[in-house]
Amino acid sequence: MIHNYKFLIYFDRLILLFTFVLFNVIQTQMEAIYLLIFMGAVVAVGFLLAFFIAVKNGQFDDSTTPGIRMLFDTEINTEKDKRDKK
Amino acid sequence: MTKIDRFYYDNDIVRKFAIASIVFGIIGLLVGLTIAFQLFLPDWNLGIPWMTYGRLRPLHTNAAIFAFVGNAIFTGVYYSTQRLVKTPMWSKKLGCFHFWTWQAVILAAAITLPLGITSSHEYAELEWPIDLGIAISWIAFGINLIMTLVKRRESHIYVAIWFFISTWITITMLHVGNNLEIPVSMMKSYPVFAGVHDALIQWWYGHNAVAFFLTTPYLGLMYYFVPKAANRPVYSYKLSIIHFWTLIFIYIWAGPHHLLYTALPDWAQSLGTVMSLMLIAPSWGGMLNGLLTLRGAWDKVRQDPVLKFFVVAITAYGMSTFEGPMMSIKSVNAITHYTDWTVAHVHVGTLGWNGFLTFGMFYYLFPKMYKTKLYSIKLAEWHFWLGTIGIILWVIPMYWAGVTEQLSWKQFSPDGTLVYGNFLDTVTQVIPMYMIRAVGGTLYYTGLLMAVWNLWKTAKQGTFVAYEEAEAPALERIKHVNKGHRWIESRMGAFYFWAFIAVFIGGMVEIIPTILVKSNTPTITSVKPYTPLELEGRDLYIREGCVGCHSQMIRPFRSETARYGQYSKAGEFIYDRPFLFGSKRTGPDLHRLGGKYPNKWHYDHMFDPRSTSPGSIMPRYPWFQENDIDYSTLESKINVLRILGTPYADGFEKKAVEAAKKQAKEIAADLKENGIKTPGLENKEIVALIAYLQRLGTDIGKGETTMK
Repeated sequence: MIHNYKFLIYFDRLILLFTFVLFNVIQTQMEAIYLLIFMGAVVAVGFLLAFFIAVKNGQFDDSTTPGIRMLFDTEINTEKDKRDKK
Repeated sequence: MTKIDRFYYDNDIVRKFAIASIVFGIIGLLVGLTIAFQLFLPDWNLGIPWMTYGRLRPLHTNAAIFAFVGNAIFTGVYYSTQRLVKTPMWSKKLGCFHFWTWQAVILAAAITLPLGITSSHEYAELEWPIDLGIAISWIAFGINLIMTLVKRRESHIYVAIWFFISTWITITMLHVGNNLEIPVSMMKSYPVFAGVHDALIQWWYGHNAVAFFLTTPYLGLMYYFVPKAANRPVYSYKLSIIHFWTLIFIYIWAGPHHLLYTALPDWAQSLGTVMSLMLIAPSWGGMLNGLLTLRGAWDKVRQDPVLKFFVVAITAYGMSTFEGPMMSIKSVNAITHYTDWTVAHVHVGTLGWNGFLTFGMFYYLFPKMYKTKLYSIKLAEWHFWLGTIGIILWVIPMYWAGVTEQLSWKQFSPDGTLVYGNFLDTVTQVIPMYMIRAVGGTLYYTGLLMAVWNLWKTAKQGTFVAYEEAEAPALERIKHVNKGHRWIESRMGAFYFWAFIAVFIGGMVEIIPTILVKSNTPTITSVKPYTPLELEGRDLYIREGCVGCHSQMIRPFRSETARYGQYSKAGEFIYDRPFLFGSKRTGPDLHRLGGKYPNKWHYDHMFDPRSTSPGSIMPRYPWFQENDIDYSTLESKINVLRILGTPYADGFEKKAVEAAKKQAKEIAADLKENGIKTPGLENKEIVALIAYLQRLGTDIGKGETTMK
């Protein structure tokens, strides 16, 4: 995934410094937006991770047959269908 | 030799949800029809508080979204998921629990909303006990869904299910995020955030509710039911994968387009605009995929009402997802915001995309589950045409009204005054459009009733199969080589990145609440908290749903400052819990109402709006003069607000009732001087409401205005 991790050491310190400065110097009405952007980012990153895992597990190796396979019914239509509940 | 399993698909739970959806469709859309008529027949509430527009509107939106559409979602998800993964639902009990708790939530909504018990957050109006109920029901649904996937017999997860999963995850986050509130009493709470904060959270939620409750589940349903009904594979499975991932990434960022030209910072507005525009691509990916699936099957569309409904639904989806991004452009938004255009946009999506896909799905499902043919194809075709014409007659007058409204509000004469200085003149112009819209709604509703009849007769002539036998090969469980934590550990870059995230989360969880709760240092020093009496009045405003017709956010346009006074500054709203910016100006903006009219005017206007404003479509509120103010929760309110950061002095809650009564006496005395003879006037709700209305926007001092 991320091969060059050296820059991350500086990146996260920079982020922490930035937010510290920002939160102490600037007060607007909009602090909630940091929470929202953060949560949006967490969700987006979560989805990204899920995507990578899915690719790794071969979910997208075959993009032809799923569309056709879903058309086939697996129901047998026998007399054994339970007409009443339970 | 692969083992062939025999098992039973659960249709019983599907039918439960389908019937619930239909029943609440009948009720929820009838409420919608009622309020449509009330807009030009303002006394169509029988003088009963819980039948006024302000209280019924949230009932309509909640019933339509959570009861009609919500139950339809569960119908389709339970039906399709089982068959796509070739596995019955993991737990019958959990399915039933989910079903009954969801209906309990709806029942609670049906009782509390007309009573005025509301948080006023659009599509999240339900108060905190019911929010807990929603969480419980939703979690039950999630567990059942996820466990069914764990037990699946088909290793590939079809794209529809990806949509369902993303729905469940995101709605969970949204529900928690927009319902962070501190209870004041069993039926009342105040949100953690105030003013502009609160607005942002609400519209982050609101837009994503559209995205992940009205869109992603329905795209999932489209990807199952359209191919099935047409017996054609999806046009491009690759495209479905691409547009799914793109859609869910981008949608979360579109929320600020609800707050253009408000006190939200410019960069946030621009971000929302850009993301909203980008959203056209994945949305239209979905539309094209759906429509092109019918390539070569158009003769079937001609014969099958199910496919007809799907075609119009998908087309409506395409329309709304083009229109929405257009409306997210600031210059367009300046015309559409607060007008009936927004309402039209909503209903293209809800009537067209959600409604019609739901109908198509039910017309497909009932014959299948009852092992029979649809009772009357002709009747279904009638429904289709009535519904389509209904949508057109609903939406086009509202576009027309929207443009008329905004352009009237903005029009200046050559000498620099507003042509329509009296807001009422802009309202009366659109009454004919409201009437045509009500006709459209009636046609659409008639179509719904036809569907109910048709489905009922279909059920009667068939035999319901509660548990449908099926067979499929058992799935060989493939062992993953890199398991769990070792997988992460063998990738150092990833490990570092995720460790960073973990730390970042910890840091933010500490920093952000501290900042947010502390941040009530006024940015405008003259802005003070509401007095106890004004607080009670504000809560009455919330109870009656005034925010449904009146905005409190003056945009920085000359036409608005000329009409209302200084545009609204973020700092003025720091004590507003919840925010009351509003989304629609059926009536004028009220942010600078304070001091514009004498107390007696407000007294008369609330009793009968037409006595002060002939031609007004506002309903009457005579009970404000009859009801005594209920001070029983005032002490708790002050305490909660202080916890949340409003600078009430310690111990003030003990003196709050006394302070309120003192202020009430002053207002009552003024009213008495002007001829109001009601006994016990100082105890009546109208006094509290007047106190609140007279306070609005006065903190920063009166700005220039040329309004009458």
